[in-house]
Amino acid sequence: MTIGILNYGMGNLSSIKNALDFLGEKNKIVDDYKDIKKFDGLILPGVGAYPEAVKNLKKKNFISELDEFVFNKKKNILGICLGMQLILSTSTEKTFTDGLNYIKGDVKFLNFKNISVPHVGWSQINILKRNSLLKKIDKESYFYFDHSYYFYDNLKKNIDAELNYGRKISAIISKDNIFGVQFHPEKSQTSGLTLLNNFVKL
Amino acid sequence: MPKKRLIGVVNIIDDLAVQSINFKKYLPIGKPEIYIEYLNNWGIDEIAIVDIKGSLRGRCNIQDKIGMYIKKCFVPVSAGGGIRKFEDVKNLISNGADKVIFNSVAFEDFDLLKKASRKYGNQAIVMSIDIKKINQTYLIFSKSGTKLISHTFNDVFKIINSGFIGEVYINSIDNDGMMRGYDLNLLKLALQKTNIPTTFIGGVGSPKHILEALKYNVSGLGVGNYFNYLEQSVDYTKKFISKNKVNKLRKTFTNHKSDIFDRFNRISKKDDSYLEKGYFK
Repeated sequence: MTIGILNYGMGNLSSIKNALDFLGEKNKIVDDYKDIKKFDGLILPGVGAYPEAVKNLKKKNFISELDEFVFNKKKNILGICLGMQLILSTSTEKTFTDGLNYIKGDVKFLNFKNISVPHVGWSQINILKRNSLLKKIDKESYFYFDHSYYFYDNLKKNIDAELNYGRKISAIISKDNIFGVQFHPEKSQTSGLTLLNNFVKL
Repeated sequence: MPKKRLIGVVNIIDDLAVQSINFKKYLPIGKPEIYIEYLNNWGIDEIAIVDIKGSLRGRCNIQDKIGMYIKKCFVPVSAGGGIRKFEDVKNLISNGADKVIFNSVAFEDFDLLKKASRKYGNQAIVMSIDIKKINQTYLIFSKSGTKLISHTFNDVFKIINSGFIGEVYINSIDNDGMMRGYDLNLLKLALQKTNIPTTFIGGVGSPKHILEALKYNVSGLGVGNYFNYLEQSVDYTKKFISKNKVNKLRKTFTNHKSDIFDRFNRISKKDDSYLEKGYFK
């Protein structure tokens, strides 16, 4: 079982690598699209802006290999923060951009009264559905968030956990073998490491 | 709403974590990576790593080492001290820091801070100011507390509120290492001047000091020396706070089930049957 950490020029790859190393899981940073198929699971990290991220995914020819990995091979993928937003349909960050569209939904700016943006810090999540990513995670667990854009769907179709920050926002989304978390598990201490361990063991 | 954070402040001189007293005297703690790993296991919410001689020496030397320091750190990290060039910022971030701390350089080259803020977002920019009270006036010092800055207390908050800064650290030079609690007057005064998340550092000698500061609208409370006097100091502090019915900190679930503690709260030697199972594979 080897996990690939997709390097598309965005985000803090070393923190995710440190966490997987600590868990004793084999992992490698993926620079070349041809290598994607070699992995058993993929992590899509992300810190930065949406349009630039999509541009980089295209430039590195990652997109068709990712589609193959997710839909034909049915292997697991976990998007973290911007990575979670990328697996949704669209985002209005800076300009309107199409995402990977693995889970239907639109990413919007957090502009609500009396809240500060970005949402940075340790927030408690409310678990709606106990998916396999949430095994052994206490219902009062905190995770570390750092984002200015959010996704929510009132029908809660693919939302497994949510939280309140000026309004309801999604914390964990999933559909079959596709997972996304708005927070940073690699920075969320025990609860984050437990979640990453669950992903690796899926 | 996010919880208030207990921030473990790790002061570094020459690759060694130290305690600091009034920005003048320093006592060695040990290897930064070990101390950071311990804080992490004890339930710290965030770590601030500062090269405290960086600005005097003209280089942020921790940028070469930070990747190793935080190999077993799974909470957010801010780092700085002696930032001079954009490359310093880039190195700290690509080696795992989530935020970069600006102090002296913000008074000399504000454009650098602006550039970093545009590139990484203002949530990645921390402005740290060192304050000393002289003749009843709060004065601002840079260069590890050695250089008086011409900016007044009010001027500094104009910089802080400029929109490029996501977070503020306020250090009291007078209270640093004195274990008498935060300078609450300074804390109240500063909180009136800004809405940006503000963290106070300097003076904790008991969990009571944290409890009293939590009454105010702080975003974080920095603790340096106090956390390295006692095994599991962070856990003890959080338990003390929650026992006083204050629910403002993140609950942590540190698990020490496999450890046995002696009467000094140090981890005891494991019994022979455990050791026989072996550690080295």
